[in-house]
Amino acid sequence: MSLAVEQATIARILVDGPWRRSFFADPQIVGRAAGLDDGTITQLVAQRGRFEKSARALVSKRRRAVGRLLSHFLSFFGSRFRNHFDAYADSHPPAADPLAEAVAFLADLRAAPPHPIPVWLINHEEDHLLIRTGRRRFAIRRLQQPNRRLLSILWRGQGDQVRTFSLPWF
Amino acid sequence: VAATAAAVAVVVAAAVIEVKDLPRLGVGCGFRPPFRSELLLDPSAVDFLEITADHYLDAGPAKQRELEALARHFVLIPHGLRLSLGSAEGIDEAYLRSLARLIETVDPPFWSEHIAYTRAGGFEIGHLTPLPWTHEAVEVLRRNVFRVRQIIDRPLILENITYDFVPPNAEMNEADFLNEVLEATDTGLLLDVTNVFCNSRNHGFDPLDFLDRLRLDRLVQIHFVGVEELNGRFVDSHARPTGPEIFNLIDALAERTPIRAATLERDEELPRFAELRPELERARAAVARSWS
Repeated sequence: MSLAVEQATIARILVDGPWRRSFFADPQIVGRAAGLDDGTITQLVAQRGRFEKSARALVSKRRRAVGRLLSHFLSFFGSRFRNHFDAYADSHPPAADPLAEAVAFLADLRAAPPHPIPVWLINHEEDHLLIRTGRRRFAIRRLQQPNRRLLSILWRGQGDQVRTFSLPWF
Repeated sequence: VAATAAAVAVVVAAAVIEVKDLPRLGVGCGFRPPFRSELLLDPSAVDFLEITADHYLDAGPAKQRELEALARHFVLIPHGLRLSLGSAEGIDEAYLRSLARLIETVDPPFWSEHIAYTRAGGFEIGHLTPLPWTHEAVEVLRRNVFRVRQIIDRPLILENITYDFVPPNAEMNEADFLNEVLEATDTGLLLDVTNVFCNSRNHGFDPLDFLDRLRLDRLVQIHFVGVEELNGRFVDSHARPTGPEIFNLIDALAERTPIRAATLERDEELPRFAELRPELERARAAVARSWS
């Protein structure tokens, strides 16, 4: 069995919740299908608790990083933010960086919200992320669209620091 | 073709490490933006700064200016997180070229990465993942480091990581694996003393015996920070002040080999920089002893 197969399997155990559960539920069938030999499967299964702990720690790390970028979301949801993000992270592998992860998390919430979430809040946080990712012109264009529920005023402060004021008065 | 091959050989040879030729930097810390003001007001507080390379790759103007300001006052050591030198599928060339641009800009005496992988099977794991202690993993690292040296001509040093699980199919112990990696890649060692302590407690080995097994003639730099005990496991959360158990291990290392650079690696629950000074001074004393 090659190192590439072993690494791909461990990566999947760590970041792909549904696959991890199916592997530990039926390690011989799922492991062999992934290209693992019996010795490797046995050694992985023997450390199941440690893999699950590592997977949980990874989700916590991702949640903390995204929470820092979605501060209004965090305030709005409070402790429920953890439930929403962990449900998302269970089936979505990490993105390349926290910004991309935050964008993907918002897109997932918009597509299938677990319960009603104000659209203006998703729009607002997305606008912040667009600015942070340097897509400022796109963000401004979005903010100029009519019938927005959120008016944001952008201005350029000291240096290149761009700030946003949000007035949810509509 | 011959000229190109010769040029590559020159670059690769330049990047091969001779530990004795590297400078003695002293004691520094990992740069975190909340420390910016205090550090710039008193640059003599540290002998160098370690910067997280990933924070400055393709950076916007504000981060670029921050980097320029830091470079004016400090020796900067880039520390990479996502090069994934242990990936069997090879190096991400776009990431490597971004890293090369940063290192060319900073012009450090050396730079560092991890003996680990962060990418496999199309997944970004988002965390440093341990390699199996096998000859195949050593060969993958040798191949990837060789590729990196074709692009980045500054000396590279490699860091040991913590691990919760032991990757299957080990053919040797961790210390022997690290020695083989350093030998095969011709790199220096960045020894994370806190990681050694956590691994020794979590996996039941003697940290001093581990130090005695290592090729310490390749040691260039150490990392240190406090540990946390969570549910019976020791974690390098980078969130606690350095305690006596870590300083004792640094002292033991200092008795065995000279330490060229020591970096306090605090990332979470950051205090004011002034509160880190006692830890830096304690490390400075150990580094000084290591040369006596």
